[in-house]
Amino acid sequence: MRSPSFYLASEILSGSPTLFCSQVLPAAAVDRSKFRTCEQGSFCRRYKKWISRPEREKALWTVLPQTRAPLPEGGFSFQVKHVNEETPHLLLKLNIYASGMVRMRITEIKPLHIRHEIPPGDVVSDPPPAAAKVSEADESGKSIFKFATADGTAAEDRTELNARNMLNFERYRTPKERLPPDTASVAAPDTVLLDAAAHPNGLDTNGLWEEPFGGHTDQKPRGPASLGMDVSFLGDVPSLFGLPEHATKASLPFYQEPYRFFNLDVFEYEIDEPMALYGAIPIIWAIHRLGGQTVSSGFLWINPSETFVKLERDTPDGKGGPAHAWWTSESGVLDTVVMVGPTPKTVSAQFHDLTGHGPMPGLWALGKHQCRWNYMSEKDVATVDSMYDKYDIPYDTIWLDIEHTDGKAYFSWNAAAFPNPKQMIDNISAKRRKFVNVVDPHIKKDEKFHVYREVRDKGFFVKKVSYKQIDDPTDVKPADWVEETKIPDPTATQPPELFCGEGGWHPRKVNDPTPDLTDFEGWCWPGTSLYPDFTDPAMREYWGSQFALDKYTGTNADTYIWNDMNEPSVFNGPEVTMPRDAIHPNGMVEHRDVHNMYGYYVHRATFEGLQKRTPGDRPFVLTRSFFIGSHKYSAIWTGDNYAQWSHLKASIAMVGALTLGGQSLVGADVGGFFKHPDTEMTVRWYQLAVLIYPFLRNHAHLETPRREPYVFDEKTMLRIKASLQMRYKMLPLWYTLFHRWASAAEPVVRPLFWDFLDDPQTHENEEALESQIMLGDSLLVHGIAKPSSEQSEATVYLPKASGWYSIHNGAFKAPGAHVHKLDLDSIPAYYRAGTVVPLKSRIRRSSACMSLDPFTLNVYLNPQTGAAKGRLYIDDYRTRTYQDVGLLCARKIDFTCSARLGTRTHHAKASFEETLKSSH
Amino acid sequence: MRFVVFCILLGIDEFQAWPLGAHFGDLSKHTQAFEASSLGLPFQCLDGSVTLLSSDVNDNFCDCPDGSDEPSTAACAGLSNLGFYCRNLGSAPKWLYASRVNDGVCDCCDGSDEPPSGCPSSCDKEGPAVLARLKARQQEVRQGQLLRRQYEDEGLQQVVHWTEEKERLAADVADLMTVQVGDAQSSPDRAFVGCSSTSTAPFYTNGHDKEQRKDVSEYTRWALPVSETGPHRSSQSVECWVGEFINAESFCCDASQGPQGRQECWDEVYTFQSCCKTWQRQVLPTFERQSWSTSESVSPERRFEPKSSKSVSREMRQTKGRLFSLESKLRAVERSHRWFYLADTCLTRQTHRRHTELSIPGASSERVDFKLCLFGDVRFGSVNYGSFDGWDGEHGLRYSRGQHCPGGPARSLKICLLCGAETELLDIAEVSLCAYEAAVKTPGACELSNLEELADDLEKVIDRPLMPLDSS
Repeated sequence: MRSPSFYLASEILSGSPTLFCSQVLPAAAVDRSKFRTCEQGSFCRRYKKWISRPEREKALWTVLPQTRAPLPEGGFSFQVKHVNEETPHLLLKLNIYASGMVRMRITEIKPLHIRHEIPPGDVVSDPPPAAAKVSEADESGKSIFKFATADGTAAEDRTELNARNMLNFERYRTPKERLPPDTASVAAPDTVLLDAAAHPNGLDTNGLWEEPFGGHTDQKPRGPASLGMDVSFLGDVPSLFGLPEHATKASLPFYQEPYRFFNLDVFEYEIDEPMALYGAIPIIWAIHRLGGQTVSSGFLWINPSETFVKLERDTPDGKGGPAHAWWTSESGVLDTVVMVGPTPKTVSAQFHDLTGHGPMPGLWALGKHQCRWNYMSEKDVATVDSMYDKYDIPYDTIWLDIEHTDGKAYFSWNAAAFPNPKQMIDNISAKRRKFVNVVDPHIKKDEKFHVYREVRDKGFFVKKVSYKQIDDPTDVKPADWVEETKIPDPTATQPPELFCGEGGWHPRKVNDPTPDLTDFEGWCWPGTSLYPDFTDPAMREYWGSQFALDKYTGTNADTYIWNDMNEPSVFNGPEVTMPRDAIHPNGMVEHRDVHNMYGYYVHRATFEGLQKRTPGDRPFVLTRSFFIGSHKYSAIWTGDNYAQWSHLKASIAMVGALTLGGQSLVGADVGGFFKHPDTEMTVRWYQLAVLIYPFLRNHAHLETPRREPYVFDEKTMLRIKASLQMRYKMLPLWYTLFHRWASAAEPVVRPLFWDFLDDPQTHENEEALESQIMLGDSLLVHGIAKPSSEQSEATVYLPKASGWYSIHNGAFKAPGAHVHKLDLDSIPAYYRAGTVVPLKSRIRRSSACMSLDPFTLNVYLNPQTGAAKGRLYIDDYRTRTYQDVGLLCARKIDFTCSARLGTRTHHAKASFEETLKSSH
Repeated sequence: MRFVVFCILLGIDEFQAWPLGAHFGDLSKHTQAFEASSLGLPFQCLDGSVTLLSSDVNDNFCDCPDGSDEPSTAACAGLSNLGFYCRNLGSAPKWLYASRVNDGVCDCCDGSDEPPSGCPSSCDKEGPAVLARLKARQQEVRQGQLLRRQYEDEGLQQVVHWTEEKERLAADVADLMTVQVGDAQSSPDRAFVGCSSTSTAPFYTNGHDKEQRKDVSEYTRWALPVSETGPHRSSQSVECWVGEFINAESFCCDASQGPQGRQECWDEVYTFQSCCKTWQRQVLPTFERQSWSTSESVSPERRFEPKSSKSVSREMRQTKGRLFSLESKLRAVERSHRWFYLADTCLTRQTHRRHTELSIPGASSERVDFKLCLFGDVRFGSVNYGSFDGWDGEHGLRYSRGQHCPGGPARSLKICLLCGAETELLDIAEVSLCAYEAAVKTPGACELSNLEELADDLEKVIDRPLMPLDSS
């Protein structure tokens, strides 16, 4: 194990002028005016001014080595002193992990309000600490943090924090008007540079204590608390990857506008945009070319408040040389993790070492999901199910969207259309298929709805603050105050006017520090809705208990859950979400502090509920909103995409970015959610999706015509059927890859550089980056995202390997660029030579029906060695015994001329075959 | 390069005597091939592509590209359309896809598609019910078939009669026109206003709202019609259109032509009137310069009264009404004169609004009349779901240009006619936003093939054919 060491650099790098390549933005369909840009948000605007201040090169913070103290959770801390203050106010915490990671946190030593920290275990599990000792140099006053592997074998630096001295940390403060007059010289926010919100030149004081946007005013009784820092990726960095979720390219463009992380329900999102979407995993992957060596590294920014990240280059053409990113978040603590690599495999392993490993999904979750907004009745559901059977098309799961409910009170049924839901789902179960129902987190305000009553009575709803002005208790009447009195006019003939106190002493008015809290009410599907505080473990416990089969009537143990709208979506809220100044009763935390984790807590509560509902079963939850660590609980889809070729293509990059963020059970709605795809687009979308979407779902908007595979003309239907049959045939490969993900942290689907880091084409070849992606280490897929009228052939780049075989006809191709003539029956896809692919050739109506069928191994020989290798993983496909008891079969398959099968790598503890049989 | 791995062979039950799952009734070639293989001779795949050793047949490994070598196993699942035949003695036999064999789901009542003891045999139990169902259906189809023949005979006469009457009435109208035009030279063609789904763009009352909706989230958009900021729904559901028109009464009939004839037509005037009020409020200011004079106090039918001899006018009105009704009837028999019996038929069914009217957020679950006039209009409560728009295949009817859904497309409906002894409305469902489908049973849809298929099915249940190699 390599361990990184931490030391403080010996020199301060001077910031060089940064030039950006400007982007021409496409015509808008999404309403940009609804969503904030960096410039429109006060903390990001302030931060931009902060980092362009002329005196930026001057070091501001000093790490005090003599203050080193061990941390209870491992690692150690230092106090950090601002150059313009006497006492240190910040605490820098360091953890060095054995897998090759450094975590650096900065927080306040004695904050005026609690700075929100994510509870331990929610995102970061405690990885094993460094085995090696840490050496740190006594070089106080230097504020560059460098990371490198420390075992002497690959000691070249690849990541630096604060190299451009952009650190900003705004401590909580008392509003100026509440400071006693004699304290002005001490705190002196107007005369001494402290941070972006306390700067002698008054960089930007707008929006410190309240901030209007889009007709809402964000009350900020706690004032500014943002933080920011820069990170530099050293060497020649051809491409950066990651930053899910954005509808952007795989090789992240260096936009003028920073990438935004603020989980939002964005209506009709656009492609090639840094705008925020539904979820946030703020991770950057970098490729560094260091001399003759190519390595990769990762950088993670753990903060659930609104976050912006700007990618920058030193060079005017925006290519080559090092790459930089600056980050700024609205509140919380500064929490970063550097994953030093050096291979993509180690970066992935380091990420999962930090955030935990994902669970094996049930095999059925990798099959075809059939969804629509909405199947309208029990009969409708039965018809869709039987039509799949009529044409012998495999599928595993049928879904119901919001219309199945009684007036959008989730956990209930529309009795007119679904009078007997239990029977309906049992009929699905009888065919060994599954059922997914939508349950959104907003709660209908309705006295008749038990969930509403119970959550309200328990006090679990997020609160709204009714701000009011009170007399400032700190403002006392000066001792020398002379009350102006009216002297009666002796000459008056009328009685004197009533004396109304004008001119008398009055205390200042300030916001009431303990204002009234009432349940926050927003507008969503059901009309007036309330939003539970899912950050509260007690609320999550309650929520989870609602999925019990005796509570959630009409469901059975084959029913799983879809959490939509969990950003949360609030139709009448600012930016269609919850106001930042809403209060979570759990710890009286402001919503701004936890916003990007709201969705995470919702789907986690659902997952834990399903776990309790059916002990031993593998839960399935689909979520739209997510955060770092969501992979432990939930599948993710890329939200409400469009039936457009551009969205088809973008899904390749979006899926790739999500898998680099640790989320492997991901996919986009096949065929697009909005609008209606023509037959060719539908076919192309399926052909791509069956090979690269781990989560394969067909979904459609209420207004669109039906688009189940069987509604098309026969040719189209047969093409879709062939695609789905190929998916089912390849399920053993998918399942084995998911085992690699769950056990060895390997993304199931990944950009080409992950497997072919030494092939520079995978860092910079446009086709290789944006049109192609790998399924495991064996299959390369090239998406076709144009109609045949515009594209008759595709240039496929096959990376350096011992050769490639077409998945469709077995034709052998040498590495390099190949022109591929297109037809409508397939898209280019190639198995890497030297791999053994596990398959099942009997295609049945669902994956469960295929569980006892024999395997087929396709062997794609390495032409030079005549050998091939592969893996096959088998368990009972649906329970947790693979984890709890270790009942599984994981084999390496080693095909050579002399030996056909390799050795069993994982021994089953009991008669595996018997268990597998009896469990079905 | 494909071979079966025995890492864990969790396979199919061992090879059984091959009649299981094979059916030879219609596939003599298949029979011969299997007979040959049972004698140890080579087996030729049905598509002729490959010749196999006899031991390769039903050996739980798919050799033929068409899947024909494995009638008893699932080895060719997903590949073969030849399938597996369950004999289901005592009940109806059944063809299955090979993918259903040994998949853990009992598809055959005799359990033959799953390993022995995998499924309890239920043919004895379900057989009588299947038989009863088939017989009842046969009875129904026979009745329907008889009625259909009767309608075919009667239809011929009826259509001739209608055609003659139509010509006569058309001549009458022409005559009356001459009189009327002479009487009322000064009365120009009028612009009229009426209720319809085919709104013309400038008067589309939702135009502005549509613009607004662009700005809001998907969800806001759906919530809008009932939110306090959104337009009130009832004002959305009434749309007005303007066109050139001569006679108000026949417009009214056009909008509501139904089997009840003129009475229904007059009933519609109420809707017309309310619509006009909406129209006046919303559209009038931009339309006043048109040659349309109106007085608030005058009722619509009076407003359009031509200034001519009252008796001529009345006669004209009546004649035109009858003519219109005939034209509508004749449309019903465009395809085949046997459909004449449905020309005046309307079917009614009470159903929950929520069940079919998804597109109205927050609609109550009141029960509303769904009224389908087969060659006229479809109404659900007071909402027009479309008017007859032609045939869709042999047994399909299309209805289009219904009222627009709030913010959505114009409502439309497809009817599928099924064979039945009586005419009845079975189901109505919204398959996508404002697109509905319904099924109607009626004798005219009975085909000879229905009877033949049923007889076939019955025969299979009653007289089980002996299998050639059933002795094993």
